[in-house]
Order: sequence, then C-alpha cells, then structure tokens
Amino acid sequence: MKKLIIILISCILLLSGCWDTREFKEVKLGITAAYDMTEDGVYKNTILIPNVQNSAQGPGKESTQFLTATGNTPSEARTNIDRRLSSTYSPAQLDVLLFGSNLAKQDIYPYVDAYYRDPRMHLDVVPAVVKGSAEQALKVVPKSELRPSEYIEGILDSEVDTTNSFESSLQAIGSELYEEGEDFALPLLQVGDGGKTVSYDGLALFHKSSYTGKDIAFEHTTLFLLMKKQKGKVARITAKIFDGKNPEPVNYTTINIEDFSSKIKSRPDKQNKVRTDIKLDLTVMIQEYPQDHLSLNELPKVKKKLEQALTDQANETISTIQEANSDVFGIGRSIYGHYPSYWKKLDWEKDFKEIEIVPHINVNIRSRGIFR
Amino acid sequence: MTKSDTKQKITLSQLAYIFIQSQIGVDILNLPTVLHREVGADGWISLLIGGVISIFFVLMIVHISRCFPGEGLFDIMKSIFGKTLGSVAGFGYYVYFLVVAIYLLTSFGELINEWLLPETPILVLYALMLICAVYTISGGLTLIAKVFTFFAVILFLISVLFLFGFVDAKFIYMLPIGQASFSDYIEGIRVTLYSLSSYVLLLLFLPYAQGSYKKQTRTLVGANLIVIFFYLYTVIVSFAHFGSDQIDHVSQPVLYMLRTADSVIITRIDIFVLSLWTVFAMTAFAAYLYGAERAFAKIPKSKKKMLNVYTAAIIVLAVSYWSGLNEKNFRVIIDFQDKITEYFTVLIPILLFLLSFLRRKDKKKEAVQ
Repeated sequence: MKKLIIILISCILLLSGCWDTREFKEVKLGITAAYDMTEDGVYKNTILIPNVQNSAQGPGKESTQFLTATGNTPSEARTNIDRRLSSTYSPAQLDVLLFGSNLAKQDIYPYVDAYYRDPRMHLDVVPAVVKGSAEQALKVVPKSELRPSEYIEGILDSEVDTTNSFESSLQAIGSELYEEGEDFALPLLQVGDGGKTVSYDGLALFHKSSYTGKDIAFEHTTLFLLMKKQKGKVARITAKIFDGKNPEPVNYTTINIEDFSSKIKSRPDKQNKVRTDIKLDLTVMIQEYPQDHLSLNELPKVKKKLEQALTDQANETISTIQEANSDVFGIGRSIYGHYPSYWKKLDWEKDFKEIEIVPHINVNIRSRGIFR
Repeated sequence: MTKSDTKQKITLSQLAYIFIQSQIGVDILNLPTVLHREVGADGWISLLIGGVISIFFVLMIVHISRCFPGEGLFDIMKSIFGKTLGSVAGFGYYVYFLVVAIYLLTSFGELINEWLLPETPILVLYALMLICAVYTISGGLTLIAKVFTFFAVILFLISVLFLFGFVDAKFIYMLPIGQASFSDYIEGIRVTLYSLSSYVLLLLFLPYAQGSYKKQTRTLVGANLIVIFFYLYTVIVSFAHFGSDQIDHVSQPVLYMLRTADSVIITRIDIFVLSLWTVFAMTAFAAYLYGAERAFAKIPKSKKKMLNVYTAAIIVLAVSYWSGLNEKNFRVIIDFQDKITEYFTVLIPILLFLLSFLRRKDKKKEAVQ
C-alpha cells in the first residue's frame, strides 16, 4: 500500500506537465510565403494565413489574411510579422515558398537556411520562382476558388500531374544546392490577366543557388522532364510536324506519352571535352491529328516527322540550359563519378557551355485512336 | 562448474540480442557523416573493412572466454595479469565504461533537446534515461537479456522506415570509388571499429551463456554481421540521399533524410524514428552501465549490488550534466574517450588474447581430470 502511494505521488509529479507543449490555438500557421527583394535591396516577407470560420452547414468559409514585413533576415521579418498578430506566427506548416525573381537572381540560400537548420520546420515546402514580384502573386485570390489559400499550391500540384513540373521540395533540391557539377530547376510562375490569375510558366533554371534568369519555356517542359526521367500521371506534347499547310492547326499533332525510357550517358570527348548522349524512347498514342486521314501507310512518315520535331525541341531546351550554365542533368557529377581524374582537368564553370549534348529521340506510335 | 554458471543463464539468442543492442547506440545516427568526413564517398568501403576486423575481435573474445571457463572480464584479467595489475586494469575498464556511458547519455540528451524537446530541462531527459537503465540492470542478467530481446524488433522497424531515404536517392553520389588516401581509409576503419567496439562487453556476458563454444561463435559472428549490414545499409542510404557535399553539413543524416518522408499514418517520420531510437540509446547505455557496475563490484570487495548501480548512475549523471553544459565540455569527454578507447577495445583485448595461450585454464582442468 505504501509503495503504491509513493508510485502514485511520483506519477502525479512526473506526468502532469510538459515543457514542450505547443498548442494549436496559440499559433497561426502560414500556408504560403513570398520572399521578395525591394528595389532598395531590402528583404521583404509576405505571408498568407488562412482563417477558417465555422459555419452551421457545409465547410467553413475561409478568409485569408496577408501580412508583409521587412527585415534583415527571414527570422527578423518573421518577428516583425509576429508583432501584428494576436498569436504566434509559425511557418512550420508552410506548403509553398515563393521567391521574387529579383531575390532569386541573387542567392536563395540565405533565405532557406532556417528551414534546413531548425528541426521544427517542415522541409516539404515547395519552392517556386515568380517572375516579378512574389508578393503580387501571393495576393491573387480568385473568387471562384473554394480555398484561396491553396490556389498556388493547387497550380503547382496539377502541373506535376501533367508532367509540366516535377515534385520539388526544399529537401529534394538540398543535395543539388550543395553538390558541384549539378544544378536544379524550380517551377516558374507569372501573374497574368491583369493581376487576376497566376499562371505556371515553365521551369526556372538555377546555377549554384541563384536564378540564372533563363527558363525552360512551358511548351518544352514535358520533353525536358521526360529526359530527366520524371513523368506525372499524364504527359502530352504538341509538336509541329508540317510546314506551310492551311489552316494553321493542321501543321500540328498532339501525342500522349504512354511509356518512356531515358538514358543519359556522358563520356570524355576530345573535341568538345565532354559528350553527353540522351537516349529517349517514347511509346505514344496520337491524341490529336487535325489533318485527318491518318492511315497506316502514313505512320512511318509521321513517326519520322515527329522524331525530328521532338529532337528540335530537345535541342532548343539544351541550348537554353547551356546558355544558362545550369547543369540540370547532373552531367558534371556523372563525369566526376565515372572519370574522377578527367574531372580534375575540367573547369566546369566554363566548360559546361561548350560540351556536346546530343538527344536521340525514338518514337514508337502504338495507337492512333479509334477514328481513322 | 563455478558458482555463477549455475546461477544465471542466458540463451544463445538472448546473447545475440544483447550483443546487437549494445552495439547499436548513438553512433548509428551520425556514423554516415563521420565516415564521409574521413573517407569521402568511399566511407562504406572502410566500413566493410572495419566490420571484417571487428569479426576477428569477436572471435578473439570468444576464444579468451573459452580459455577461462566461468570467468568474467575482471576475473580473466586477474588470472592473466596477476592480482595487482589485474585490479588496475579492472579499474581502467570501470573508467572506460563510465566514460562511454557518459558519452551516450550526453549525446542522447543533446539530440533529444535539439530535435524533439527544446524546452525540457536537459537534466530531466538524463534522469528519465537513467531511471530506465537503472531499472533494467537492477533486475540482473536475465532481465537485461529479456529486455534487450524484447526491444530487438525495433531494429527491423527502423530498417523498414529507412527505406524512405531511397525516395530521393541518387546512386551517382556513391561514385567515384577509390578517391580517398590510405591514411583516410585507416581513419575510417578506426571510426568503424570504435562504433562496433562493444565486443568488449561480451566478456561479461559470455560466462553465463548457454551452448557450446562453436555455437556461441556462430551466434555472435552472425549478430555482428547483422549489425555491420545494418550500418552499411544506413551509410549507403544516407550517402545516396545527400550527395557528397551536403552530408558534411548534416550531423544526423539518418533523421534528416526522413524529414520530408510523408506517409499516411505518420507525418513526421524523423520524429518517430528518433523516438524508436531512444530505445537503442537506452539499451546501449544500460549495457555500459552494467559493465561499470560489474567493474566496480570487483575492485575492492563485493558490496551490495544496488549500491554499485547507484554510484555508477550518480557519477554518470553528474559528469553528463557538466559535459552537457556546452559544446566545449562535451568535446573534452569525446577527446578523452577517443584517447582511451584504443587501449581498452584494441590493445587490451589483443594482449589478453595472446596471453590466454599461456595461462589458459580449460586445458589444465582437462589434464587434472
């Protein structure tokens, strides 16, 4: 009996409290944040905080709150935001992090450092670059959206499904941020329709940790991602396969990629220092062929034209990448991995622009639809 | 048959689990980073070499134990070195076990403080850990064996959760092979061997183990292989996940790579793994505390058992509190541990092994009979 009492008393003493409670009602969670650099070089942080009001029926209506503050570091800006909130602001559940292009062009690392350092932060944040001001993009709240706070996240997510963007997160770009001979790309957004909508605009190419200012155009993202071995739920490419026919749509065809395989091989080369071959095999279905009359005899010709058109697209993308000096395929790292002694002789900063990257695209038309 | 032989017995599988649990301690969380800093992308190779060497040490330990049936580490040392020298060496081991226990406790406190409970006073964390460990070893050898066996399932759980690290892995980061210099390899092997050094503790458990010499050898080598492969797996996952530059900045790569792993049931797998890992930390800590308690019991005369446990616990708690105050103090402990580890885990076992051929007792007994 005595023992039991002692145990009970010690339980009361030990189990009655916790130093590390963080109650949900005491924090305001930011869902999306925008980091900008003003023209005077001052860092500006804008956050979106959703507030859900309870309602008697149906899902609660959501109102959004925007707060902007400046500061020397993200943490200082956060403190300045906090001063205007009734409860504490916490970026621990942030879903999307937008960088204005001005800030991204300098260096993004100082602004994401806290995410890597603080174990409370969620590293699953999707980073994205906004052409122009990120704050402006954040403040776009279309009336038709049920949950305005998830508008931008929704855009990014749906583009992943259609293979125009890929699943990126701060964690995923972490190794590329540090690694030599490897760069990364981030989704690029733009405010359109006179500030009423935000649109996805392609992929922003980075070199080291700064935005190069060059992008992979939206039309080329799918092919680029397929070369990088990434595919969402569906992948569609529209290619121009004829010239000078009337009306204009007749020149084009849209294919649906059902299956693909991609191999990137790099090896030292005497002429261009490094030669990279990208071998991409696509199994496709013709989804749209405005010209009509797609007979079986016609297919080999279409296949040839298609391969030519896709190779042109790929070449265009590759020259953009080389111009931007953004080694998104990790060619440098692969050379270092396979030919370490050769790598030491290279000056990747300069040599990447001069290497030869050759796409080999092979198309296999599996189906042409149910209409002949 | 000596007295202790009849008193307590642990089965072969329990022996294996004791070995596994005392091996996997704090090191598992930062071993990939430490290896990468020393050897670069070749870290896993030096881990393999170090693992093979550790198997030889295990074989040596089993051999020593066979030569002195029924005797624990401290009796063996007295038999080999003589009474005075044996006692000095015994005291040395007492210090060594205490230092390792302090290191384990301080790193545990620091980790939990950084990752999980930043507001909780660190002394409370230490106390909670100590209570668990003291409670485990107060029950004696059989209880330790049972507790360690019970918790072994966590190893498999954690191994499965580590698979999430492969999500963003790129195996190009494992290349190029063979870039590190010879001295780097030696350093990597040394690190590996230290992180597998709990074979010394085996001498405390082996006298009570059932089974023939052959079966014991087989079990322990098997257990050691499990630990080596678990380490190898961890190191490869973290290398492939982080790449060669980022990993040097991340001190607990295993937890770090799970920060984004999202699953349906658990949102933050890193926190979940950390909680599971505390069990490893506790069992390794308890094993070394038990070693210290045994050592203390043998120094002047046998005393009440719980008294030994409490003394060891209080010393560990006090020093851990001091070393947990700031990083400088903690470094002092680590440096001191680094200095003495070599003697107690490499030199003395080798010496014991060599001398055991001269002073062995098992053959003598057979001759008398």
